[in-house]
Amino acid sequence: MNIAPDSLPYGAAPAILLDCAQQLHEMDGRPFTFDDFCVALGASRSESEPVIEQLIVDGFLYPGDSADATYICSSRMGQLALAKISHGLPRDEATRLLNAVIEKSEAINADPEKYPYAVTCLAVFGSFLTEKEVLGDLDIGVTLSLRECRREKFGLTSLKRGMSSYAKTLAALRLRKPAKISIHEMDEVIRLETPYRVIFGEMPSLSSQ
Amino acid sequence: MTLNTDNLAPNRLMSAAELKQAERLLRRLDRHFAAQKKDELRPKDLQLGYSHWQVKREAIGSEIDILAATVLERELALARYMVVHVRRNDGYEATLQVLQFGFTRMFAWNRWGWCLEGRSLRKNGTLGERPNDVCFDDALINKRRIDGVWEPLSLSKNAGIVP
Repeated sequence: MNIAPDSLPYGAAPAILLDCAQQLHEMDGRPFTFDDFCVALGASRSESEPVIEQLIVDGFLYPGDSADATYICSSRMGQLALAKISHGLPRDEATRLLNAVIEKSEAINADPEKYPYAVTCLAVFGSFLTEKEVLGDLDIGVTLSLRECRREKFGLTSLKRGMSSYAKTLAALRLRKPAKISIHEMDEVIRLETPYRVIFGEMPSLSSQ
Repeated sequence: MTLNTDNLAPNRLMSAAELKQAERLLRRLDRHFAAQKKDELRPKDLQLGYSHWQVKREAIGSEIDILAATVLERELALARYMVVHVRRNDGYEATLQVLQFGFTRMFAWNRWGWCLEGRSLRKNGTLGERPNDVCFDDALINKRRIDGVWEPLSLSKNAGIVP
């Protein structure tokens, strides 16, 4: 989810609404009162009332079962809590960035000295696969593997060095645009059970991961 | 250095009846403190204990809280759960979310002041967990609206002339 910095969702500044959503989401589904909501929003009861009403209408909250007026967060509140405050990423720019990530992967695979880990698979998922013209960010799943020629050199003793090379390759794929490109492990993408499209290399078999 | 601030002293904003009630509550609180001191001088096995006095003080504290909240909301439109920035005439500044109200006598008991208790804001502007409080009589108060704009709170036109 993406919230434009200059927008006022439910009449609230995005940072204030997100702070409220994060505090409520941390309650882990426990019921809370209207006063708890006011505390999380940082506003008086009269200012908070229209906001909570709208959040209920939009399915972020729902009234609890108990007789005393309580509310419970829905899973949408979790999405709001994790939302980013940005203008989003236009599809044209996302496509350009995706091509640049593919080119970078080819460059990484062609340079075993600098990058001990090779990119074996890249997959795009998330809002890029929808019809949206403005995306939240570009979500890419990646599988890296240590090259055969570097395996002996690393050994078990230089695990730390190996981890730093792994992180270096991931950072290179992010193209110094962490606000626009989100790199995830392919395992994580599979666990999310979200649709994805392989755009580079081949999907490794599950047994080999 | 003095700043151009508003005189918001409780004895100026309260009505005669509210002031009488406030004085009674503060006297009760003083009596409890004196009784607690006396109690602490007794042998340990005869003492009523700290929790006994704490329960009594909390009961008075909640009455003080209700009275202070009523007056501040009526006279200054300052309500519970608001995020406020208080700038006292001595230059001291505090930003906090107001969770509890109170009043007290300050400086050799000849001045009345409001007490706001709550929690601090983090450096990034989100609501934190660290407790914060401020006492004032002469101050400028700004409240944060939910759209993020800071708005000065000013005294209502009838301030100080409530019957």
